[in-house]
Amino acid sequence: MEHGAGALSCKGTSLMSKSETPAELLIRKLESIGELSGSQRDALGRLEAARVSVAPHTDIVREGDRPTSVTLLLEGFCCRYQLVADGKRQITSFHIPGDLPDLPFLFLSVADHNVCSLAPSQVAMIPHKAMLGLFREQPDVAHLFWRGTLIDGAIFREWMVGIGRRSAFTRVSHLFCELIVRMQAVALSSEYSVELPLTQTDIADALGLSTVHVNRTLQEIRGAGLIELRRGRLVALDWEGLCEAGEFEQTYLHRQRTEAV
Amino acid sequence: MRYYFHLRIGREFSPDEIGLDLPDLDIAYLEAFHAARAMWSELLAERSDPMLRSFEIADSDGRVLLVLPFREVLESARRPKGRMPNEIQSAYTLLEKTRTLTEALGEEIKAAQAMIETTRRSMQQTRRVLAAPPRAVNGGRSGA
Repeated sequence: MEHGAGALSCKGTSLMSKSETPAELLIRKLESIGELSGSQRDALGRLEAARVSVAPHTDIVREGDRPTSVTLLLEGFCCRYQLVADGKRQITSFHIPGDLPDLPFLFLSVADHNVCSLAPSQVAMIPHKAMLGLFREQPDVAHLFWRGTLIDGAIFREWMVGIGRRSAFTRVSHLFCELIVRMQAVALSSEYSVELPLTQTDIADALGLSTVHVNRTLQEIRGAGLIELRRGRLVALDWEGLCEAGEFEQTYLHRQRTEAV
Repeated sequence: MRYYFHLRIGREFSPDEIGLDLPDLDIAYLEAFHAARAMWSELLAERSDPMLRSFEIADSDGRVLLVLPFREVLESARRPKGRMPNEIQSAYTLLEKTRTLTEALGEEIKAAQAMIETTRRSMQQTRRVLAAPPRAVNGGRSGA
C-alpha cells in the first residue's frame, strides 16, 4: 500500500465537484446525530480544509503515525484495520462519506491502527488546530463530535457481538442493514439501494470469515430473496426480512431523525 | 482468475453465481478449505451433516477444476501433525506410491532376472547334456 505525500495528491482547498462543500457534508452528518444552531453551522462552515484525492487501497493513516489533521471522507469508502502476526487483516470499521475515521488522533497522539481507502476516494483534511479552535469557540459542537465517537463505540460493540456470537448469515445481513441505515442518514442511498464498493475479501476481513464463506453466505441471503447485488450496488429487496435475518435493531446507531427511513 | 465455488449437498446443487477473484487454484482450494472448516461448526450447530457436502471449484467456463468434500477437513485433522493441503498431500502420496511401486518393480525385476539366470543355467546344462555323447540314456547299450 502506498503511503505518504506521493500517495495523496493534494488538490488544495477547492470546492467539491458536486455542489456540496466539505463543511456542508460535515453539517449534514452532524445533524443526522444531533442539532446545530445557525451560529454553529456558520462556525463549521469557516473550517479550513484541504481537499485530497486518494487512490483505492491507500493508507491514509498508519499505525505509529502522529496525525496533525483529521480526515473527513467526502466520497468513496474507507476502513480502519489492523494486521495480526501472520499478516492477516482485521477490518475494525467501515467508513462512508461524512465520517471522520481518524478523529480519535485529535486527542490520542499516536495512531494505534491503520486507516485506508477501499475505493477511489475524496477526502478533506482539517488541521487539528482548526478543530480545536472550533471546539473552544463552540463547545456544543464538540459535544456533538463526542456523541459521534460514542456511536462509533456502539458500532464496535455491535460488531463484537456479531463476531463473537452470530452466524455468518446473521453477521453479513447485519452489516448490510447497518451500512444501509448509515448511508440513508447522510442521504447516500435511494430507498434501500446503496453503492457498496466492497469486495468479498473486505467483508470477510471485517467479519472474521473466509472469503468463500462470505461468498456462500451472500448466495444464501440472495437465495432467501432478501438482497440483490448488482455491479457494486446492494439492494435490500425485503428490508424487514433482512433486519430479521441480521437481528438488526438500529437503536445503537442513535440517529436523530429516524422518520426519514 | 475468477473461481466459482458451487456447493453440492447430497443430491442438491447450489451454484455460485457470484464467484471470487483469487490469484490461483491453490489459494482457491485453501480458501474453500477454510470455509468448509468454519462451516462444519455452523452445520453441526444446526444439526446438519457436513459430510454430505462438497465444494466444486470451477472456472468461468464452468469447468470443474477441483472437488473438495467437506470430509477432507476431518481427514486433515486425522493426519499426523503438519497437516498439508490437499494437492501437496496428494503429491506426497503419489511420490510415496511411486517409490513403493518402483521398489516392488525392482524386486520383481530382480526375481525375474534370477529366474532368467536359472533358466539360462538349466538351458546350458540341457545343451551340455544334449551335446555330450549319449551314454546311460538307453541303459548302456552303445551305438547310434
